[in-house]
Amino acid sequence: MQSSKFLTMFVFGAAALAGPGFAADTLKVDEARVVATVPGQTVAAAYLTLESPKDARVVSAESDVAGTVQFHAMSMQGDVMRMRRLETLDLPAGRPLRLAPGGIHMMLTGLRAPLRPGGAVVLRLTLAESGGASRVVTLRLPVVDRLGNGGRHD
Amino acid sequence: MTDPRRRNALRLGGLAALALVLPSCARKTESFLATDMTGIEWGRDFRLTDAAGKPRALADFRGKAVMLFFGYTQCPDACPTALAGMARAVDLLGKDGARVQGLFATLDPARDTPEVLARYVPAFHPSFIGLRGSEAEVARAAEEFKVFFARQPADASGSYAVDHLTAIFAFDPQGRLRLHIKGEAEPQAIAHDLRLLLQS
Repeated sequence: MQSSKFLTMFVFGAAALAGPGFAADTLKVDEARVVATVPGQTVAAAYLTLESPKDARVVSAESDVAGTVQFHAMSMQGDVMRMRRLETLDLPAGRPLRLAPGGIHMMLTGLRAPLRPGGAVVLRLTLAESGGASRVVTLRLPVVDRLGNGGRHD
Repeated sequence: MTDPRRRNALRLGGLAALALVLPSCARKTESFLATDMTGIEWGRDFRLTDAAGKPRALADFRGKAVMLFFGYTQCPDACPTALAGMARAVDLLGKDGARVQGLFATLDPARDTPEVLARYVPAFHPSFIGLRGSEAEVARAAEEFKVFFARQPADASGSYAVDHLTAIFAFDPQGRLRLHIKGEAEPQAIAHDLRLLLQS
């Protein structure tokens, strides 16, 4: 769709932003975005697809714009929305994990300022990889309008 | 035995009759896309307060089709999706949108203060009204509409989620509960149903 070119570019951006020794093929990031806040809202949801070439877990996430970043699994049971916190996000080797509306998201709570479309949010993910290695991946996520690209109506 | 010409005339007559009947039929059978709740015995009213502190009940909106959604502002996904859909549907109605009232009733009055509601709700549509009350008033309103909700335990940072029904309740201009619309319904579908409600 309209956003695909932008998102593909973003994957390179993510790789470029990653720390020393972090190759572009280590973690694949796609469709990354944060949904802009509504006035009065102090939380925001981040969505992205992560794929690791080897078994890994995202053990934590943080951002300068938020008090905490948590992993939430939302599910609809009938018309009832249920949300549960996940301690980690498991990334089995070669299997993309899609964080998307209606499913898992990263929840940014205690936002220090409103997030406006066109802005960006820097997220730092701590990854624990099989073999015990742990690394921090820095990602830059565009802030998108709820009804704009990346949202439910794209 | 019958004269073939007469048979043809009858056939033609039948077709003409069908042609007369069909358009009105088509109009009558246009039905709601959402779940029709007409005649249900519950969901008759609520007593809550708007962000300005004014008591509000369903009767305040007589003459308008009303959409009522229960949620909370820290809800990252389902609530903004439903509210945005409701707002878009009102816009799709054009001039008739002025005859629709969107309402957001919080299930989290502790965090959704009047100040928060006053900023959050009109951000979706300037005509929308946020409603709240004491814990007991909110629970009573949810109970009247059979809205399941359950606050989850707070984590170390003090934040908590509220599991809840994400349906939009729609009332006709006479204040009767008519529809259960899915929170993720397409705005076009919501607008379609609102148009029918405005005709009733």
